[in-house]
Amino acid sequence: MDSSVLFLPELLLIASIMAIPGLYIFTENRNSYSICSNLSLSGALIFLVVSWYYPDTISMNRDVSVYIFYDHFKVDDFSQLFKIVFVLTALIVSLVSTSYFEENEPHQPEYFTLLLSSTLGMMVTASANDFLTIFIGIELSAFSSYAMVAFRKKDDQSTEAGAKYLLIGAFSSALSLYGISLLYAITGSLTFDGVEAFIDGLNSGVIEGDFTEVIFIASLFIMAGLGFKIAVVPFHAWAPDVYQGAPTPVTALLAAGSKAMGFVAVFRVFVFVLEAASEEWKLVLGIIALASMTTGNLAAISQNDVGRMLAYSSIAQAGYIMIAIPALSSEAMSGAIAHTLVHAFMKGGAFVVVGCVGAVGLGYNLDSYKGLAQRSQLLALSMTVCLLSLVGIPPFAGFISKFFLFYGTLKVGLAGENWLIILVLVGVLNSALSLYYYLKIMRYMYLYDPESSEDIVFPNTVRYISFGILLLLAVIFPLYWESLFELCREASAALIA
Amino acid sequence: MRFPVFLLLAIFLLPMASAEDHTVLVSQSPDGMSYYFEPIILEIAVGDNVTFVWGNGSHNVAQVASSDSGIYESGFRSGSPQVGGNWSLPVEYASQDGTLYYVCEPHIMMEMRGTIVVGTGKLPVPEISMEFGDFPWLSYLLVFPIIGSLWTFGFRDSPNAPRIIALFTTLFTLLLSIVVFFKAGKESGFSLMEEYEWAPSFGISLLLGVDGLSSPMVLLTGIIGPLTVIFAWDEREKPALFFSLLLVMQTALFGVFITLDYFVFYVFWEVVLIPMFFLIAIWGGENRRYASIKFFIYTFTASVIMLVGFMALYFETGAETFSMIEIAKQNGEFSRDFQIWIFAALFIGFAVKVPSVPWHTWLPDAHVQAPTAGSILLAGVMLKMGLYGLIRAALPVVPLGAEYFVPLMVVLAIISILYGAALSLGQTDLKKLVAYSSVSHMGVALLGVATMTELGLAGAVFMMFAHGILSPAMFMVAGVLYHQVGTRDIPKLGGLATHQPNTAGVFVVIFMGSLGLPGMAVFVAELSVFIAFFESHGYWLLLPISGMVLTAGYHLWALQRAIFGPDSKQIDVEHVHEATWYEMYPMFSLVLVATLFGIFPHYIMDPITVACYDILNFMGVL
Repeated sequence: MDSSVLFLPELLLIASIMAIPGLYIFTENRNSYSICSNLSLSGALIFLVVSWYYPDTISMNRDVSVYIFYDHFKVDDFSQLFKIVFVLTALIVSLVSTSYFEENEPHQPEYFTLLLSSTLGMMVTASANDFLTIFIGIELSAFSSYAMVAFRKKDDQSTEAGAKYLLIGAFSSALSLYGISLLYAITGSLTFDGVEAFIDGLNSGVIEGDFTEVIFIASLFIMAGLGFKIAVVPFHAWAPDVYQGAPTPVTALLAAGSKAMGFVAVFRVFVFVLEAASEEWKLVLGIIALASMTTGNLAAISQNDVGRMLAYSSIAQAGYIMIAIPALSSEAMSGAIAHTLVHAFMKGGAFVVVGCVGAVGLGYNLDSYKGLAQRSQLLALSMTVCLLSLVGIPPFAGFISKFFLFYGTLKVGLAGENWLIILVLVGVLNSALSLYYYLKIMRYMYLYDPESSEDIVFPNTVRYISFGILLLLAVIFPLYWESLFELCREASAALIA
Repeated sequence: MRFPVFLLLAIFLLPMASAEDHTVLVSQSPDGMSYYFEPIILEIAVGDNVTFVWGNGSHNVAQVASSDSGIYESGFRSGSPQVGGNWSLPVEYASQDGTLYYVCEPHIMMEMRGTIVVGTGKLPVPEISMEFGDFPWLSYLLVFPIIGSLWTFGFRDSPNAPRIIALFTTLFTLLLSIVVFFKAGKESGFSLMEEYEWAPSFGISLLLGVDGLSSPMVLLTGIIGPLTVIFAWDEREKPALFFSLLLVMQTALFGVFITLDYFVFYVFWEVVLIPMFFLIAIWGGENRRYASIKFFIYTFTASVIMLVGFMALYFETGAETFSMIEIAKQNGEFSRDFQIWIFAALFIGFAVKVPSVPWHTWLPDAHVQAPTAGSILLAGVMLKMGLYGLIRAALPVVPLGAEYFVPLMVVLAIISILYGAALSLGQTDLKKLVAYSSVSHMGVALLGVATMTELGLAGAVFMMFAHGILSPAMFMVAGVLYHQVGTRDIPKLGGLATHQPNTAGVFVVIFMGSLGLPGMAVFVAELSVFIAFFESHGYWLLLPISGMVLTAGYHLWALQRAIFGPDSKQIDVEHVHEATWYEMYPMFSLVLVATLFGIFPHYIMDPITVACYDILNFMGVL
């Protein structure tokens, strides 16, 4: 069979992106858009999972990467693992969105089209094999999400967030594009392999010349551009405003999907391409990691808006993941991949609850969480597990992935790179610090009586999804973490190879 | 035919033939300028014979502890200095691997010393017997409370079902824990072991096993379980959640005491926090929000530092396993500096749980705000995790680090005893008084650990058990008083004895037991710790033992003011009645248990002593 069958998940999304506007012409039924989007996402998910576990059925060999579209598109374990996460996140967001919207909310077909095209962008990023494709993927995803953030045109906060996100996003794209053009100017190549070969050649003396400074500046620009996407200090200022202002399902997509996409790009560019570039790089990344963890956690403590608090927490989480990149060992990388995956689920799960609480009219403030446990035992429990998981308290999934991350980094640190030990220690202490604000939400949910006694019915979709995430974080990942790590090891092997 | 016989003979005779003879010349140069053993360092195989042959001058041979010590303490000695002749080393000294240092006592100033390296030169690692059971008793201990907890949740709307299920489950686990206690027996080493792989690529597995150190703790957890449930029989607020949290807590506590894998130990250690947080936060007193968060953050911060210590141990051994036994076997490989750092990290984690002054401030808050059932579990079992962890997870692995911190531990323990007792004396809230008395009592246990002797360690573990029986009883007293008169303020109480004579009688026995009356369990523990401390530190004993005067003081004074005396005007004494059955039974059972082990301490002391001997043996102290 032709290997371009591996492009089928993306094709499914593209088909549905085209179909939804068509449906709008034919039918007034608002459910049809979400059904179409859910169907295509589920189809893509099933295809990805089946092709992962039964690669023979599509005559794929998982040990070697497959290239399609004239080598612009690379399919390997790393890309497939993240595509599964992206599609799953998009599916959750798509399911939740239906219950989030009001009955006659305008522009629903546009919303689902944008959701799918954003997901498509993420998937393209995961498979990109050169700087141009990765740029197209990121932009595809980013432009769709700009519009989604500003989706509620009449809502001031939403439009403000959209405008902010668009301006900063455009600026960051320009920065990374400039970095890429510098790299192209000296290497003459846009593909990852080409750039890597050039840097290897420089190091081994095959290519003569001193390009250290240019490469350093180019990577600085690329880092700045990608840093906006993953929201690390000092490129984080947009995140709290946007997370707070955007409709919550969109925030879930940004926090879970878009952030993971940023990390995919960072892993590809920095671990694979610029691995050998320079030693200072590691130090810069280490300082960024340290600053992100500390700033994120400190700023989150004083927040009153739950969305904003979680935004700062996701800055801190990005910091944790960043400490593995300077370590550069295969084990540290698989730890980083594991934490990125688990982070998508725990942050996504938390935002699903936040969105639901907001949608039923309780609001987004900490006060609106008062007595949530009395209103819905399940939502409060799911939120608690997500939060404890974010702190890294055993036995929840966040603990094991964080353990894996610190384990890999500490191993490299003890093997000689002593400054990495400091990063791990700061990370561990930061986890203890972060406990305070996560506990604050739990305290509001369990220890206070609800402010009003009105009876509130939570939509069933959200309850099922919360239960699923609860099960995943509290039972499935902790019990079968060996297989989770196996997946991450394979992905990291594919990344580094 | 002749050849096989010859071969057989050779095989039998080989060990005998291999015992070589070595001689060491004990001499001095004729001009008296140098005094020497020749050879200075003698390497022999295990089982070889060594003979010292005297040359010039008057010398003797005496073993010393290390290459820079000059004083004979124990070991071999040829007698007083002699001229000429020879003396052979007693065979038992060359019968196992090790390094023997010896000197000539009259010429120690001349640096006349020598070394015999037997075999590899390292003391052999003591064998630990590990017996894998044929029936998974220990997994049942972990699984049953969890099943009970889920079961309870199925009856959320029923007022009776949760407590009945909880009582049934805890009684069943009590039975199981008694079986485990007797199965563990008094033999050295671990028994009833089980192993389930969890993450083989990291070397993490659910490795379960009990020895004389953990079996009393398992028994204690088993005993406290049903008593907590009975005492909380009348819980009206969200009973299903309450009892299921108690059961989850029990599983986690069992997990801490029976697991032999650092990673799983840490997991259970943290899981204990979650139900306790909710117990304090939902059913606690007025200031519960502050207390629960302080409790959680304080202990979590300490334990993440401990986790870093565990990971460093794991990487240092390089054996790709988190098994405590495997890592402890390699304790000879760790450098002294490394051991000191690791012990410091682990000690912070454990000392906060003990709690030792100055890390005790979370305890009074947590205790005072917690519901009585929470206090019972907190004081009865959770406080024991700290010292248990110290003895199980820190001492055998980093013995040099522990030795380095002995003075600090002694000082902290003495301060805890005195300061805790003095604070108790000043409290007016009965529950706060009991909380500070825990600090004082656990200080005694820490002192026992710091002696690093068999008796001291055993006394410390016995103290953990005895305190685990009597301090819940003290909290029950506070709980009963609070239920009846609505206050725990000692100055406001008074004259209760005339209205509830039987209950007051039990109160008196509990107070007496807690202050260390002979015949009750606490006395045995205090006595052993103090004897051991006297043996190791001499008359410094006067400091901790003066704390006992304060202990007697605050117990008796509180008892006299709260229970006896004239009727108080500030409370409604007329409504005071005998304690209800569900309050009386638990208190009475605890008194029974405390008396039983006060009169027959050997039931528990025997296994503890064996386990402590093993641990000290492992540390190389014995």
